[in-house]
Amino acid sequence: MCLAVPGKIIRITSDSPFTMAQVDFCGVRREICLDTVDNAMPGDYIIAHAGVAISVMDEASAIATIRDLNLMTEYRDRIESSI
Amino acid sequence: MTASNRQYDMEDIMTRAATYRDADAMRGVLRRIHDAVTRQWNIMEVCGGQTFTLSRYRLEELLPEKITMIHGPGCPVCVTPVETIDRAIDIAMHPDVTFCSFGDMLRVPGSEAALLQAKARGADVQILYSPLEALKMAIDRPDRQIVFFAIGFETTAPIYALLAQKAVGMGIGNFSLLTSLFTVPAAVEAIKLDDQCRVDALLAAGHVCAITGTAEYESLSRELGIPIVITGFEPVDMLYGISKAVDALESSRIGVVNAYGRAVRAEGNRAAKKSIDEVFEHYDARWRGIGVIKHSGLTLRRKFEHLDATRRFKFSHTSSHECNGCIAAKIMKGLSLPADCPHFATDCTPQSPVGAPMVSSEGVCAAHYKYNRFQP
Repeated sequence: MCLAVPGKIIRITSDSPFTMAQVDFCGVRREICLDTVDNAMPGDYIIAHAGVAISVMDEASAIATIRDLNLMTEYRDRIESSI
Repeated sequence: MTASNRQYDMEDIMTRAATYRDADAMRGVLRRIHDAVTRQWNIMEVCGGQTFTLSRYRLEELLPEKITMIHGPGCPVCVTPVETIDRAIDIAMHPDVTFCSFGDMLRVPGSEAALLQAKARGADVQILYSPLEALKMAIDRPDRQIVFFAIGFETTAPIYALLAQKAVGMGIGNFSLLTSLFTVPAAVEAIKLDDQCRVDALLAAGHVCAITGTAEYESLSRELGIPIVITGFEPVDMLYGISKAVDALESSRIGVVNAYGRAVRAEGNRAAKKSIDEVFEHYDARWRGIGVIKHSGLTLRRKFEHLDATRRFKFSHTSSHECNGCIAAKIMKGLSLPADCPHFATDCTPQSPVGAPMVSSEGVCAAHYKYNRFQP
């Protein structure tokens, strides 16, 4: 039940009883509640859990992680090509 | 092209799981782990979602033999006490009640039966994907008492807090919550302080930390003297978290490393934390298989206690009991493996679970049954 997935906010669709938005999950669009996050806007990436956004994602941190992973991959390539 | 000047497709690295399931990235991190490790280390992943990833991708078989993964207690389906399951069944049997729940909870064994048997006996038990649907149901069906089985950790607590606030704000009188809510840090502390504990480092659950932030884990890390790595759920995320844990262990560093920065900020989710604080307070909660842990649960504050289903419905059950010899407690403390249990894969299977960890896909026994049962 703890599965939570990232998606992109397309547009806000209603504000009562909950603030709802249409969110794109890799091509599948679902209505997600935004009441538990501050300042989420169309274009933001969020993590949704049980139909509710729990976090607005941070693009700079995502790039930093991917860079770190790429360095590890390059490290492996260097080690294995020198064997 | 080097890592520093590469252009990134934000859609890919924010939402595409493929980015974090990439075989090259996994090989790169694994190489790093293999090269870094010099000693035997025991690393506990707290969250059942992470246990599932470890099993599904057979990651433990790819790790160095010196690393042992310990599967922690972070599956709410597994730790909801047997008394609460009995209570859920009792409430669901009321003729005016529509009892709503996540699907997993229907098969969790109580003292005598599970919610699924109550449904078969005529109880109105509904499986919902989102708790929000329960409040909408209460608005649409004023003739019914709508009860939601509010299980979970800090990740799910703000959703119930939102529901409670809306129910009070909108004056909805036919809605209530049967809560079974837990907080991770208190449980980690209790497990680590257990004399038999052998956890050297902790992978904290990324989505719990997305709500709580990192401050609580900084003090926990210092208090327990272990590194804590906030970790995501895809296989690359898991290996990346393990790599950061190994780096910290090998260099004797204590503290928190955030290996899931795209979802977790140091301050957490302020709106969600404010909601939780307004609606819930801590209490000494009982964890199934483990026992009572101080300050490890969330219960409704006085202002919201009229939404507590245990106050609204009389409880006729007299004594709850475990009746099966399930060794979940030892498994969740890292002292045994699922295969050590005499029931595992014999009379206890996901189709017919004897113990709670065999029910949910996040339960360690269910994950081992599905993916690791025929491991050589």
